[in-house]
Amino acid sequence: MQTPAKGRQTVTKSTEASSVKTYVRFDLIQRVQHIVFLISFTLLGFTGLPQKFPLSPISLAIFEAVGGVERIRAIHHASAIAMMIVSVFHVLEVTYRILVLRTPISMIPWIDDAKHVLHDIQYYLGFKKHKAYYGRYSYAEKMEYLALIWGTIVMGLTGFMMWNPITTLRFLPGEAVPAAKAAHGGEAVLAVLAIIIWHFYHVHIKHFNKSMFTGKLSREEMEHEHPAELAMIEAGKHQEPIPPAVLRKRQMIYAPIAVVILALFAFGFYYFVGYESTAVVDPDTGETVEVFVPVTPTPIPTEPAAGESSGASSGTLNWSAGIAPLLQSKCGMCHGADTSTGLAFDSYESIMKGGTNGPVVVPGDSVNSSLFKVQSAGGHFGQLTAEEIVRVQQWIDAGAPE
Amino acid sequence: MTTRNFHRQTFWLIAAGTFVLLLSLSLASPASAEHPLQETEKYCLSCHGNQDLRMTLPSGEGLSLYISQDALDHSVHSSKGIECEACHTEITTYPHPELKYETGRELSRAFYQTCEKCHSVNYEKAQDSMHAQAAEAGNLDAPICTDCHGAHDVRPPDEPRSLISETCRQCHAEIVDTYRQSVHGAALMADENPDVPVCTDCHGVHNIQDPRTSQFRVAEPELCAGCHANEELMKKYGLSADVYSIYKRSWHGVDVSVYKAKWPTIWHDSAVCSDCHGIHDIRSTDDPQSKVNPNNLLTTCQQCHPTAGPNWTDAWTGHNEISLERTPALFYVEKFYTSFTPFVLWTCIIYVALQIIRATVDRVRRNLP
Repeated sequence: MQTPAKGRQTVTKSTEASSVKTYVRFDLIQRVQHIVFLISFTLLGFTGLPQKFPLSPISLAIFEAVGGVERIRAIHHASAIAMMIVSVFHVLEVTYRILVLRTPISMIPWIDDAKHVLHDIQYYLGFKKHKAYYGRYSYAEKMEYLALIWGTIVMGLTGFMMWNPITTLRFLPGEAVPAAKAAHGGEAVLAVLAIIIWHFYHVHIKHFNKSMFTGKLSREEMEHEHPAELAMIEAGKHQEPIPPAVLRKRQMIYAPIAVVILALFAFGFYYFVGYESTAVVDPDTGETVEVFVPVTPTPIPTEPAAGESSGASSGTLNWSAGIAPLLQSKCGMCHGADTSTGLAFDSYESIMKGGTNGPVVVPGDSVNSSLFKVQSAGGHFGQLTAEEIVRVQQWIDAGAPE
Repeated sequence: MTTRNFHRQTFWLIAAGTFVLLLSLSLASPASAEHPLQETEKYCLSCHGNQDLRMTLPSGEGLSLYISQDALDHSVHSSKGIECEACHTEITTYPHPELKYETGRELSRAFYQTCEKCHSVNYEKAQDSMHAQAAEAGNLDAPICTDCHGAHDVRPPDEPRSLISETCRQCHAEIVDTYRQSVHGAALMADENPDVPVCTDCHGVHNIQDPRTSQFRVAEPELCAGCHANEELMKKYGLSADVYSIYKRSWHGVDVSVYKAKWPTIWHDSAVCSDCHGIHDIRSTDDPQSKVNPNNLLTTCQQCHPTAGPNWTDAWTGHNEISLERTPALFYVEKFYTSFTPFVLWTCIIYVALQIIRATVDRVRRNLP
């Protein structure tokens, strides 16, 4: 966020108590931009990296602390909007400085910067007595600024593509979205680590440079960090103030340009934020089939078809051919030859003799035959079917022929 | 009797005794191994072998009391000597105690509890199942042990393997019929393929859970991965075993994994396997009827992303490794960051390290006399 600000850099202040001179390095607008960018960058990092490495314990802890992936994304999107707004503001500011104030473009690396790098490497290796004499911005600051511009463009574009994939794919091939995801993640890791290594070392560890918050550098700091700039200031080489009439004229030209830039970004924001609120529409998950559809007829019938092979289904109505097989198969267990029930159906003689309670068959009179009476009452252990009882009845009524 | 005579007699007595003992042992041991085991069964079947043996329950419903000898012969229990009285513990003699059940279903629901005596683990599991929940909610037709395994004709449930789906089909006919059209079901029906899943592989055997819950949903990718991440198995069918690991890194997979890890009980819409591939109707990608056949893919995506356009499906890389042939742009982006990032960071690290070394050296020198 460090921008050309030579126009106002020469303001000096001295206090009466001590003759400590301070030099304005960053004006309020620049400091505010830095703070907004710093906060949004941090939030984006803390909400973005867990999405890139979702199953690491740290990521899961962050998801849980914030209360869900959706909330993480909402914070990420909100921070992205803040970063985009501050970036647009920065574009307006830089164009104003260049077009209206005509400040020299001091952020572009130049031949001097290459010389400074070589000089510094020699110094670090012990071949030089001192560091290179930096101007307003050292090559380290320029590189970081340009990396930030590059990173913001990459992250903004790829972020937009991931946020609005459907819109994106109306204009680009499908592969663009996963490529954007890869670039967004790759750039994020690069940016965060570069900030931690490069930025933290140069402005926090090596020497805690507070100028981005106070706006000022002391003379000693200036001597140390920006000796060439200090020399220029002390030699009185600074920009002449612009006559008000000229300034006014330039501002009139700049205004429509600013409006166009703002309109372009506003249009972009409209798409960015409003076009695709979410890609997902309530999916109709699951099947729409009937779960309980029993096979009919059921393969496990509760009752088998009765009377199929009872041995009583056919033939003449006499003992040996019709009734004996029926009674012996269905009653023989209890009323067999070696019976303990006192009643046996093993032979014609036995059944006609009856049991201990008397005869069970009264030939010609089924109604008075206890065989028929017991069976018609139902519930007997060896219960005959209705059809079989009819056959027994017919047999008795026919005189119980042998 | 002389002493010599006595001794001779003793010898013969011992010899005869030994002979009888050996003879009885050789005759008795096989007899006791076979007959007593089948005795109860034979005794019960002397009545219950009668096909027409039946009674009427208080509800008026008829109840056949016939037990087929054939069914018993083929059951797993009878051949192991587990006979009638093992389950029908209340019956010790004739006449039997009176049955107090209104309906046949009521009787079955009372009698099946005897399974717990030997099969307590599976019985407990079944009590936690959705079927048991349905019964608790009042549906007495909800299946109990005997509905799936049979009562007197209990046989190995998976011989042949397709028998499992046949069993489920008794109640879930429509689903099983759909399954049989699927790539899994067709393979099962064709040659009893041991690799493909049958109903129980996905739904569980005794503790069958409701598959419509969020827990089942987020666990689904792992369920499919059980086979589809098995390199050896997938190789056999020419399928990629990486589908799961790549899915987990995909748009859908990240959300599902996080929800599974942290909020498995909260419903989440991010697609799981079955959302795209189908549930019981999963087909091969080459099948024109497959939901993920290239011709049908966009329609499948539009289930959730209704406004997606024709380029959309190319954005799906959820099952493919990054390759130069398939996704060149993605390939180069990835290549750029995997080489550019380390280059930049190492440059930064070396440069910062140089400064730190120089600053340290300077400080040490300054402190020297």
